[in-house]
Amino acid sequence: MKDEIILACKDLTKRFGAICALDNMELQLKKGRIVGLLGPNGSGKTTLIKLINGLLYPDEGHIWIDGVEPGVFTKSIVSYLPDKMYFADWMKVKDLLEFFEDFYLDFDKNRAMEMIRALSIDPELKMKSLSKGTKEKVQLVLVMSRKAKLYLLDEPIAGVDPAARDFILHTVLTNYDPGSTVLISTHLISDVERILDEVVFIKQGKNILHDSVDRIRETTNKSVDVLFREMFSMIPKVQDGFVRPGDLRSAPEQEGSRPHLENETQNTYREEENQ
Amino acid sequence: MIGKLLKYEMRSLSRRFLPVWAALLATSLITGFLFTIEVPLPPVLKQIFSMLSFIPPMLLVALFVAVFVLSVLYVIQGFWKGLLGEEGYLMFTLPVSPHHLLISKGLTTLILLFLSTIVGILSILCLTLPSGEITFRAIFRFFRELGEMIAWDPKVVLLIVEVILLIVLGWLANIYYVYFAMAIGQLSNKHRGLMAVGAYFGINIVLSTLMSIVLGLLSAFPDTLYIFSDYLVQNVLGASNALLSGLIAYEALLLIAFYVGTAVILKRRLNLE
Repeated sequence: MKDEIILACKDLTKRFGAICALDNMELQLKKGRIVGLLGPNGSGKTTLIKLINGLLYPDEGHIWIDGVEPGVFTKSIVSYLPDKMYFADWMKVKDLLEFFEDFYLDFDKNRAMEMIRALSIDPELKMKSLSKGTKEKVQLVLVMSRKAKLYLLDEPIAGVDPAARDFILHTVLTNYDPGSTVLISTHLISDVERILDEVVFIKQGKNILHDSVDRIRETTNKSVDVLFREMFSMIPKVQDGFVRPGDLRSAPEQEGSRPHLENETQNTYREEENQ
Repeated sequence: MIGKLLKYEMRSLSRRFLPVWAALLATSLITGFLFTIEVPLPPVLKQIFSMLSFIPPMLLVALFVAVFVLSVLYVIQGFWKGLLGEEGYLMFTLPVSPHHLLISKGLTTLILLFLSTIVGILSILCLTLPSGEITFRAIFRFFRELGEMIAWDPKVVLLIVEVILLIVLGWLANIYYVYFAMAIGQLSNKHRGLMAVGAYFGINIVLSTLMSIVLGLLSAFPDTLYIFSDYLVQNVLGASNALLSGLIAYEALLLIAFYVGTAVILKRRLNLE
């Protein structure tokens, strides 16, 4: 049971001056799940991801990725897509493929090359000559062409057009290894909801709900998007039936992926419901 | 892994510097020949030629300045942009230790400064050699005298090694001094650049204050100076050796302090934009 967990956070706290970005965060993710990390702006999503990939160091608490605290080993099994462009712009697309091949043993260059070709991007082009959307696609191709154990995608669909969104979600779905876990942070829930197995709601640096998407639908009869809007509403009371057309899309059934619900998270969830 | 990091660092270095170095050497060579060779030309052309002859020396000065400025910029930018900017998101999530990142940056910069110095010397030679054999003779005399000194006392070799070590350590200490100041600067959320510059001058003030305290203490004992000058008269090599060893120890200490300080900040307090 224990070895099924890919990510565990205990009492995780990170402060920036007076601001507490993560406040005693508790989280456990299992292998083989696509998990949405959902929360409004400034709720601590990016901070959590940066702590997991080692870009930040916790003030208190611990993180274990496959049982190991962040370091050189965990960086070799974590594939991270930041919410910015992180390449030297003089590099050509094919230089980047070579760079990834050099540093990541789990990088599949052939697969990356196939995807680059399928997108009709010329590998000889320099990064600075590509459009913003194309750069983001190249970056996603690189990140998803690794056979990592944990993928961390920070706002992968923010700022791209709907067609590019579909491409990104399709790429994630078709490329991630069934034994790996994907953590996607976003506030554009309706777009990603259909590919998610589980969601984690975070608010002011705390994990306030962690549950499977199916269970949320069963117990509340609401889509994750609607539930999110209710829980994070700035307006005092939200009417039921606040449904947008996007919410009516049915999610593909995931067989055998009903996660065991931890009592603790279930309780938190009930408390929130009662409020 | 450090080899792979160095490979990419050197690639970016050569992309930027090979053209400037080549231009500098070529211009020096042209200028050198221009001043020496008398070409039989019709008077009109000769006049035009002499009117334009100010261009190569000007270009040469500009290129010298360019190499210098670009080298200094590289020390700063390679670290600021390459590790603490957006590229840091890539570099710090590679499966390599932060020490490897720090060492590969420092080594690349050391290589850059070394090569720029060599190119500078070569370019001066290119400039002066065509005008006659005097400089050749001077170089030859320099090495002959050096040989004589070594023959006089083989300990001179030790001094030469110490001077080279001191230069290399001094360069490294200065590189990591700049890195350390930038690592402090990135701690600020709003004024990263300003804080880095402030840290640079702040450290400078602290160090020079410490230095003047030490010198003040030394001068409180007037004997020390006499003892040293006595020693210098009796045993030039021994005294130089002692002085150089002291300077080497000082630079090594600075280098270690700046390196460790930078490494700790990058590990514990990394604050990428």
